[in-house]
Amino acid sequence: MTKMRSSFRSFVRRSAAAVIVVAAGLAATHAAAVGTRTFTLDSLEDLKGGDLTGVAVDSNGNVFAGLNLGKTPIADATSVWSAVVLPDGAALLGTGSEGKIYRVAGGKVSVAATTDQMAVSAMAVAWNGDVIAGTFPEGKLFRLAGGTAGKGAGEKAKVFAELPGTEDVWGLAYDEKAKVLYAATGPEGKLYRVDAQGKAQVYFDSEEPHLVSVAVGEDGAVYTGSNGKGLLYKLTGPGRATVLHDFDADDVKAIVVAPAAKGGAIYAIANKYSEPFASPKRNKSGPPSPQPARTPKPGKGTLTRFSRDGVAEKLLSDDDTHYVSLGLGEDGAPYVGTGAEGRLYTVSENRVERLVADTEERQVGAFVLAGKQRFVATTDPAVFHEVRGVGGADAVWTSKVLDAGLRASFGRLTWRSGGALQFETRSGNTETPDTSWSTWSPALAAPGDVKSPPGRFVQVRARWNKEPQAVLREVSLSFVTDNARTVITSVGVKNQTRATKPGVQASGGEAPKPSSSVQITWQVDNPDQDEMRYRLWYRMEGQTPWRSLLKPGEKVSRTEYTWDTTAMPEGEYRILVEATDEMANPPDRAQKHTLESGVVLVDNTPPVFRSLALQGRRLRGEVVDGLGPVARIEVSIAGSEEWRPLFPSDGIFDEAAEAFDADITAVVPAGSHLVAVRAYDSSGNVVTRDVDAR
Amino acid sequence: MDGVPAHRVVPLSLLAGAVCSVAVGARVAEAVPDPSDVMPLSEVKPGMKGYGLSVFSGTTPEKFDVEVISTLRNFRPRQDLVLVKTPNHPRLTAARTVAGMSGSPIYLNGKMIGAYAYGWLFGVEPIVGVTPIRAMLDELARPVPKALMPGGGAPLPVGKRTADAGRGVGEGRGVGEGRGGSEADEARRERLARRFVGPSEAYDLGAHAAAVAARVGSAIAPPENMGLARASTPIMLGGFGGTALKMAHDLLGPLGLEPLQAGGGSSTTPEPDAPTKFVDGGAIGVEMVRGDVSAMGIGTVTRVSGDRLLAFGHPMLNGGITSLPTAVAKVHWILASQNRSFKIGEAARSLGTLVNDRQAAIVVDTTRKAPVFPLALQIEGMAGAPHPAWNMEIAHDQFMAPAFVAMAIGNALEATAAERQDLTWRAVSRLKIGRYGTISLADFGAGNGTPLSSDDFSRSRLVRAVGSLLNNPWEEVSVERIDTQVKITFGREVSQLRGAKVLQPELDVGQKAQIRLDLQPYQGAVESRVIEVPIPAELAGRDVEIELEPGYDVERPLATPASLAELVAVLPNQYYDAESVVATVRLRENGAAFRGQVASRLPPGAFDTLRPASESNAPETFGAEAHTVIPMKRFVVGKDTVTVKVRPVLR
Repeated sequence: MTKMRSSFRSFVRRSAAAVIVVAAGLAATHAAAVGTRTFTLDSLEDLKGGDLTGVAVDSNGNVFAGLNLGKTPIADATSVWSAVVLPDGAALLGTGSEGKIYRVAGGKVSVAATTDQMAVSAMAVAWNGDVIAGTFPEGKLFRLAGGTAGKGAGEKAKVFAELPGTEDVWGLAYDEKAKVLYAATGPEGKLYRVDAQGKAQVYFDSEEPHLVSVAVGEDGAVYTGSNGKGLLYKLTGPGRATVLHDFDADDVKAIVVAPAAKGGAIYAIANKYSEPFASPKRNKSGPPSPQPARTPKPGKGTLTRFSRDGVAEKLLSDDDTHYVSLGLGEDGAPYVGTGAEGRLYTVSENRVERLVADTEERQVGAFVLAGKQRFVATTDPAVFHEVRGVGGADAVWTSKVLDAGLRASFGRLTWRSGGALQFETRSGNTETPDTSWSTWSPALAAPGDVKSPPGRFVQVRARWNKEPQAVLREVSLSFVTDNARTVITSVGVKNQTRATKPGVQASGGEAPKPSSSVQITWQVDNPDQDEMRYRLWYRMEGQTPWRSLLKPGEKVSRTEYTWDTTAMPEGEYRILVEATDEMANPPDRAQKHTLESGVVLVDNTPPVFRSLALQGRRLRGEVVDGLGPVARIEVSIAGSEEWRPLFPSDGIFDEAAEAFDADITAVVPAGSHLVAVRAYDSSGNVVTRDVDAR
Repeated sequence: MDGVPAHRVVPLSLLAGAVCSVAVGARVAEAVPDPSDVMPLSEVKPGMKGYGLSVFSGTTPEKFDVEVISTLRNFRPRQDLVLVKTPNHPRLTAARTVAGMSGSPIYLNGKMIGAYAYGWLFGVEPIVGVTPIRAMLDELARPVPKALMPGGGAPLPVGKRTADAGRGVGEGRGVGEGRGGSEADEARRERLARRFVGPSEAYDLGAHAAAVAARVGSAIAPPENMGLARASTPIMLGGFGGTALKMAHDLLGPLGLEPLQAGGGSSTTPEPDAPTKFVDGGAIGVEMVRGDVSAMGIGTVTRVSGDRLLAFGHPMLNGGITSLPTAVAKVHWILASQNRSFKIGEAARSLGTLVNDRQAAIVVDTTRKAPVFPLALQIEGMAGAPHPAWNMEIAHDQFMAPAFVAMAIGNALEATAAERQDLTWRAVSRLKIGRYGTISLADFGAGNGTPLSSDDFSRSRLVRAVGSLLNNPWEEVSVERIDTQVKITFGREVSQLRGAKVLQPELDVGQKAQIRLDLQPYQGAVESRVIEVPIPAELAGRDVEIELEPGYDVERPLATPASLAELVAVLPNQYYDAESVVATVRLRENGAAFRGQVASRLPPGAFDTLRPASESNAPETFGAEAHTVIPMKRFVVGKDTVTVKVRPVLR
């Protein structure tokens, strides 16, 4: 499962035009010896390429319509830290780095209140619908009666409470029943309980520097998460804390408690961050200057669910990003916003993970996906994305560019889906779609013939404009390419005795092993990837007719052949290779091509000693070979394997007959010995004789 | 230029008169006709004889003879020079070329030809260079935009201010180039050239002086070994002691000014018989500071023309449009010297403002009152000291103000509290800033037997604050007044930190680290003091280094100011209490500062969100530290680091 997950994640990366080549055999299935082939996209890997605007692929390889998002930039903010929805449907966004609260309603953005703080890091709707905003770095709580600063919008918000010793308010949770507000704070790691008058009491004092998240269950239990060791605490009364879970993480960034009616489970996201960022030494050489903008390294995140009795189950984990925001959807499913790439994921009960939105911003700072106002608010830059629905005209899945290898005519496009989808195709002859491509074809509402003109490359896209809930599972497209002739580009023949190294062959060194087989290899250029059949002939140098090298009925489909020359007469031969695509094409369309090899030597008989005599320590003799030059003559005391080379009388091994005359005193010491003499021809055939030395 | 026919220029001046305040300066200058009492340069011939006017003693100009030697064409850029002899006058025969006579009008046939302006070092004859009056009249005609006058009454329009701020300091050189160099651009460029370029909250007087000298010094004083003319202005320093004099020399000398110990005069409370107006040939002073301490550049008025006048015949600081107070000066004597003779004098009555400081002359507007700010210094703790209170007025100038604040306060202290005994001083300065209220700055020093001096003040927080404010890159600021109270105690209230010892090397979480500091006071046994430093709980299981440093060395984490308001807020709070020890524990978190707000410790998640990839106007980041301030009631010298181990929490 884990492996599956990570591959799911990696494919989500968008690539505008990934090319899949038929030769790689990934998507196109070869119908053996038949010209019609099919692109089939049914796996996660296949569906991942191309463009995923407004759609999402889950870890099972199903394509869904994603959230249809609007886009309203919030020009003066950089980050969104918190969000609430007011009873009138307006959204309030707590932002940084100037600590402003924005109100977004009807696509219009206005400043609801300013705080003069660095960021509004937490917000909660509390008493009488008043919004309480928590900020840093002065640890102030602001109260926005009815969600505004006062009579005029954009005024400074009223300070509601200042928490002693507190610099940062990271989380706020309002307990509807007890009418109290809980505030998770830093840098003393305290949880405050604040009443309607703004009186704050320490409810829990942790040993951690920061409590970064807080949530209240319907039973009044308070959950708070820490930064430092990544602890999730459960509090049932002032100071009565138990650690519900110790995450292998740096913080418990957010906690959500599901309504009791929906199981009352506790969801928490915990993150492990990459190595602490080393601050650059502050540039003291001038007035404030632009800070180098760089993408910070993301951490790793997990989403864990705790049942009401505290049993933990890890639902999601991501090694490529930490999670920033957490929330529940209308159906109670958990959603997480990422800290890199600005994505929103959800996970189903059976732990199928799904990307539901992929924004262009870096982080999903806050989102609300239940209730009448649904939105995703992102950070860096700050953008408010209203959720307009699911699918629609903007939900388009576009396949990667499919490469038929050659100009192809397209046949039927079929798909498997749950729900109605519309398909379009386009084709062209460039690897990247450009103006030379055809326009998108008229939409196909049911499987049918593709209208796009023949071309080497093709793309398919699906639209969710009919049924937003539709799920796409598989797409296939049949095509037949033009029959291109396969050309043999080279033929190599290698008598296996020969040294493989080209160039000068030394007569010394390791003796070649004689072999009677000749290795024939050839290379072909097969543009349409037809299944090929090859035929081979041989001819002795100087003769005319080509004789078949293959046994009757023997089929060669690979580009190599081993020729057994045991029964062949000695001599020099040439090989002819013919390639034909008759296996994949009807006889009238079959095409062939032939190419002749260079010369190969067939020599299976060893040389002979015409004479051999030892007088004293003087060895004389003559070696004769039928075909080749004699390659080497060696001598040793029989059985010693200490072979010493001898040179021919003329000093060079270049003739079929070589005489030799050598003093072998150095090899054969005084005394009685059996002296062995052997001679090789250039094919490695060897003959050994012996003489007595006294 | 002297051949310009009158009929060509008159109609133009009539037509252009209504709009000439925005016209290009050079054209306006050409449009001014020669007055009838002025002799064009073309009529000046070698051998012609005439006279000059200058004050040799007192306030009344006297004549001296001149004889034309020749005319040097294009002596300075687009400016000729007439070489004359000044024979026959006994003082001039002895003194030859006199600094301070600069500006003395020279007449031939009763017509003014120019101003005595240049002399040669070590000259053995009384020969001087005369700046032609034509070049000076051109400067007189040059308009001075009111809006550009530093501190010139009404604040600049807001739009203009932001435009200025937007240009930034570093861009100063290029501003306005390629747009025909309108008057306003040129003036701004000149002022920017004298502005301190550096961190707005970390002004450094020495660096500023070096930068100004590098930019304008050579324009005023060419390299000496070139043997060329030198147009330095003697600066009469009044009420200055030895080290203040040295400091004045070090700061002003490279600018081509010659600080000289002289009298201070009584310009703010003039004698009844002091002249009430400037006259041609009269002495004029440019007052950078006046009152109980004074500094005045001295020269001679060339030509009074209505409310304005020309003087010097050469630049003072070549600063373009400026706003320095001027005064009618009184000359005591001409001090003759083998090297360079000079007039010694003092201010007699403050009058007018130097509005334009140019190559050919300085232009003074007698109706304008230059911005100055009062500095009141009260020295306490010197029982029976004759002069515990010092009052002065300092010119509101980007460079002069911080320089003279340093010299004036240091000088007053030096004069009042010159003691060989050990003394410790603590100064509290209240700096009133227009529209931004009053800030309080603490300075201190603990002597070690060396008397106090001005140098102690050149790096003081007060001087740095004044420099930072006047050189801020955002908007014009007016320093309205400075009140400094210095408390002096006799005794060396300094302890040397000899060592620190951790009393308990291993701590439980929540336990404070107890550290014994061994302090070596002057004249006494080593004293021990146990301090407690809380250790943040999240450092459990770690070795924690605690750095102990004097409070004056530890910077508070502050956001780099991004506006004048933020700068004003930052200035008094840059460091911790000077009489404390600050224990610093490095945390594993980071902090961020932005727009005056400082988040000292952020969890990594929040820190990550604060660092945008899409925006560069982002919070500055720094490594988080926990500071514990331990008041010591004395100054501590030295620093140390100790390590404690915090036991891990066992759960």
